[in-house]
Amino acid sequence: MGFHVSRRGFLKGWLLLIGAVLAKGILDFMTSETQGTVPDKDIFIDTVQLAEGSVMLGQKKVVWLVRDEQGYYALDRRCTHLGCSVRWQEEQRQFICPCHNSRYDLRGNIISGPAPSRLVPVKLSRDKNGNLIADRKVVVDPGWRLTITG
Amino acid sequence: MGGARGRGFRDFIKHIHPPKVANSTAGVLPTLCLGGLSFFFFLLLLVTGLLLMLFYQPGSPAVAYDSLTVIQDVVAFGWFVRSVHKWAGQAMVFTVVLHLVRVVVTGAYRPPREFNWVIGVLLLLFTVLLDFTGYLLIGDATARHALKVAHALAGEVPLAGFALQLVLFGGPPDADLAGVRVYLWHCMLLPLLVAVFSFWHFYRVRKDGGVKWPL
Repeated sequence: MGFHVSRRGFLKGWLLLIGAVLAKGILDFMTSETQGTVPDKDIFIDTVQLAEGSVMLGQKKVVWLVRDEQGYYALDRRCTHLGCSVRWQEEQRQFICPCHNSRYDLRGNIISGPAPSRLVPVKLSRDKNGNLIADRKVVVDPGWRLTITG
Repeated sequence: MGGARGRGFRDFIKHIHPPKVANSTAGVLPTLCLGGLSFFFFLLLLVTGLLLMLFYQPGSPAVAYDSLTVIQDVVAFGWFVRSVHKWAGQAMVFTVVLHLVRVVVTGAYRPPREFNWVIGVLLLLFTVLLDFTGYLLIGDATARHALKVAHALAGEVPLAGFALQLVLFGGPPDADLAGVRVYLWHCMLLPLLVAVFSFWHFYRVRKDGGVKWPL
């Protein structure tokens, strides 16, 4: 079985390949992120002062820390509807999204609003200085807690 | 490619190529392709320049320089695009000057082609100004001092000096507006002039009877 490639076909193939590589490079160039991006990690200092049933916003303002009777847990601040940053409303004890008024309770469950799902619980760990670090890249089970001491 | 669009494209190619080329000028030697090379570099500069404009921030030298470090270190292939832009710019000045030398040596400036010589000299001027303004856009110490020199030189022009300084640099050389003006000349006015005069230049080559040797 002979396999024949014409000179024109050969050149066209190479041209196509070079064009594709060039296009990919230019696309990567154009879509480079150079302006400050939202961090994945947030840090909480002085968490011992956080009373049971109260909340605290991280230094980077991207994660909410909550303390309940079992320990600490962290909620990604992004509303699951369109990604606005939810605020804690102390009088109603709810997380409220300023964009479309989605409401969540202290555990992050939906109370009302257009949000399709609960606030995302993310991994929490303790660094060597005793500060708590939340990592939005790692989603955890809603029942997961970080113990108060340790 | 087929249909009306394909035919239009083929017609265009047919028209920009001369119908007849003298045997004596069909090779590389008489012209060394220096004019064509210059235009090739210009096209390369247009593409890479447009890409750089996506990230370059004109204005104060510090901001400009910072945006260049971002292009160099953060943007994907940014270092490559900037290098190609820089070296294509240097190469264009080089080939344009060699093209001028070639035209002098072969006597191609003589009538009836004297008018195209004038257009060519203007193109050389625009090319050098493009190179120089590009060098000012870097925003490092060299560029800042060069901008001061350029500003002072513009001021030396009799009568119109101060007005020229205001138009070219918008005021003092260390104000942010100077950086914006240089950016404007580098990215808008000068490339436009080179494009328009290049096509005039090519048109005159054909109009004056194409590439002839000897003349």
